[in-house]
Amino acid sequence: MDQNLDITINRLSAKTWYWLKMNEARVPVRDVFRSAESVISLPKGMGERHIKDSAIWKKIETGMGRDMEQIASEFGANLIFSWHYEEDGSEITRATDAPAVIRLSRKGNADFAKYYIYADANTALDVVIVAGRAPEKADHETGDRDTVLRGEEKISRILAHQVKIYAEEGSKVRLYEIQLPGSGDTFLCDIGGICEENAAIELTRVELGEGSIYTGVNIDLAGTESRFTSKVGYLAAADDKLDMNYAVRHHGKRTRSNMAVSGILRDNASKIFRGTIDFIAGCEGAKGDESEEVLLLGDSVVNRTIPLILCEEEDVEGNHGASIGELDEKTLFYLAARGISAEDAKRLVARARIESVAAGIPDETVREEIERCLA
Amino acid sequence: MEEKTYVEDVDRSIYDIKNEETDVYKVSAGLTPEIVEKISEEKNDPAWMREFRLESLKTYNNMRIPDWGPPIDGLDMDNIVTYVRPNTKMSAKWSDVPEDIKNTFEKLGIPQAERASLAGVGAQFDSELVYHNVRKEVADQGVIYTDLESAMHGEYADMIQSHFMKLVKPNDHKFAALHGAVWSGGSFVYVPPGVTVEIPLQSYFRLNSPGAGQFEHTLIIVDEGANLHFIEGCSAPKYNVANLHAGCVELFVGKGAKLRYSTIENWSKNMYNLNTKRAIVEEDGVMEWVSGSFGSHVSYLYPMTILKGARSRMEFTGITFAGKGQNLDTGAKVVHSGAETSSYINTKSISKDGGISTFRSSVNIAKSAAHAKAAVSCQSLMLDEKSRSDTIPAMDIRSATADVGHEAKIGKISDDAVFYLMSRGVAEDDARAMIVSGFADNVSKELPLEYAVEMNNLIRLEMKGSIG
Repeated sequence: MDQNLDITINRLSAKTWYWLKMNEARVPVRDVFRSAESVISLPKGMGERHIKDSAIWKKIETGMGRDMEQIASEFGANLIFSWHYEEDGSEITRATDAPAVIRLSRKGNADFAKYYIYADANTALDVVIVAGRAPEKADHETGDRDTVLRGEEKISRILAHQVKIYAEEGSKVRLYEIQLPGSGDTFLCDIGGICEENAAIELTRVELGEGSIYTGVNIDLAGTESRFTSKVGYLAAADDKLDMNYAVRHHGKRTRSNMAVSGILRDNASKIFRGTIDFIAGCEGAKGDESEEVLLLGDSVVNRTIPLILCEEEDVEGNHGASIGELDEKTLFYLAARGISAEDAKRLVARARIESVAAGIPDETVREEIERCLA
Repeated sequence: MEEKTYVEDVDRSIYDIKNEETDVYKVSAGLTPEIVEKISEEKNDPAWMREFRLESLKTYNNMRIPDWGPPIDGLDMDNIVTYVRPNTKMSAKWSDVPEDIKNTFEKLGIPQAERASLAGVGAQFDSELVYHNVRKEVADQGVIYTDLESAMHGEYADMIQSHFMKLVKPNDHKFAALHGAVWSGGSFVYVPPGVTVEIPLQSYFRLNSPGAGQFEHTLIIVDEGANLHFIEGCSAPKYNVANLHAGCVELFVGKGAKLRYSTIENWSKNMYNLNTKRAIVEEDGVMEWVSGSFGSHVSYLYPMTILKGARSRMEFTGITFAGKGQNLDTGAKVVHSGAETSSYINTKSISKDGGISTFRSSVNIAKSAAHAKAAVSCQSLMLDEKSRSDTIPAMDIRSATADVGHEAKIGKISDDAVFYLMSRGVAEDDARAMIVSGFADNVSKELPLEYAVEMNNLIRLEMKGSIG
């Protein structure tokens, strides 16, 4: 199909020079989106039902922006929520320790899914979304994930999904977004959330590449002392392209944000990370931190970073730090002294970085899948 | 010990002196090929330059106004007078400069500074240089410091033709194209191989006419192993109509050469400062920028350095102070293409009284720049809740052996520090002013003493009155 349905997403919160080509991402779309296949496993204390958009969800802006919203508006959503009461009528203040696990996969050329997560006041819920698949077992012969996975069916398809989170007062939502190889040539993950007073959203994101992976995140810290943290770990090799747009908007007083991104680029992989901390007038006492570590392990990698701090409030504290480059010599020396070659050392460190992000995932099967991809 | 230069306390009224308009020649407002041809004719351009201007005008008409920076709607090109020639010929003696113009420069402290601590001075009033002089001992070293127009017709004509707007091409952006079409005035400096100019050269630009544009072009070539410090100063009185400054600075730093380019910009607060500065550095060369932005209504200013030669280096030290009614978008750009090149960008910005300051930068490390090192550090200080401060630093790294560090911080004056000073008998206003001056010391310690004093005075002046 040659229809031009291209979308522009991941717009930078404040534009800069066009020649840098960082202001936005353009994604070629050649087919009309249809519903993706998703399997939702719910623990006790959580519910799910299919809903149409309502005012509250329309209020939530996502990181990818209006083109994605346009696509999303054609679809109903799977609403994930916590039950207030047990069957015997007793109240549940904390939903459950176990997470809801969503398995997302494509069946057509352009697939889409939409999930809404609603956390009632003072409840907590964990949601794990996994797209793509891990190899059945690690290939210890070569130890190279490329040979394991890239030989498989070559697909030219888009898999997209949108997640909106509404966190009521004092609630906590932990979202784990795992992208495994095989999630499609183009994979889109679009997240938006609102945190009311004292609520928190914690995002853990693992990206293991194979294709063009786009992530857009926008979190509005509306209520006093609401919080957002994100931990991102990625591994990109071959011709992978990663495109990320993370923005946290501090509206409420004494709100806190912390975004940490850590990744490895090999071969011809390219990556752009756009990160914005936005202090909006009135967010007195807010604090935002952003940090990035990138390990460059290939001669043709392209690493682009643009960390914005926008500020219209006096009483705030914003920090950003980035370190980009090779493994430092001290680490290499330390490992060499223990008989580990530079090449192995790089592999080891790369793996350790992803593992440290993945360690917090509350689902053993998913953790093992990540392990297998890294092996 | 060297004698200290005395610089009067800065009073904004100095910059606000308005000279009666007595220019002999002014082109009508707006921009057409006829106006450009007229300017070219008036300036007795060589044929290539006339062509260049007309081509640039075409480019200008085909380019769009940038939409990523501060709004420039207040700037109506049809109302900017591009060429204003003062009623005087350029002179090498202050005594020949008309009284009123000379008085303005006297009050700005230019002749005094020249006597005390400069190797040469160029003073531009509106579109033309009114004064240009270089010390004999410096001229004897073979250093050329002259206005660009004379240079275009003299011994260095070929050098000008082969360098003029080669680094900043007219199609770089709309206002570079405008500059190419209507540029006027500015300095040409050539420092021969191995020559070290011990004391700085200075050009001072003064825009006097209301609703006028200033488009001076500065071209500096520092040849192999040579060393120069160049100082640029700018000011204009305040009128109710918008003024435009779209100057262009091109710097060529040869092998093993070193150039320091210092600017304290204090245009009046109706000025649109859309200036372009760029340097290219050969092997082992060093480029240092010291940049203070205090004036203007709107600024777009990002000196760019291309580290072409292996082991070339650059350092950018900047401060921006955005007060009431100001939207200052400043920063720096660096491109590493040579191996083992290194760059350090260190900036501070201050926003106060509704002012908007934006730090914008780009660091590009090409694949060819093996083992390049780059560090960016930007700090912003918010002095009240009415102001705004944004940080937009971009990095594009394509060399796996690059080592890049970046840190950005934004915050307010620490209450503890103010309290500490107050407990020692310092009034609150003074305490805050002291802290801000301290915050700006990355720049002041890089400036020659008299400029550091001027800068601190500017900060004091900006801090005065509206706090508390």
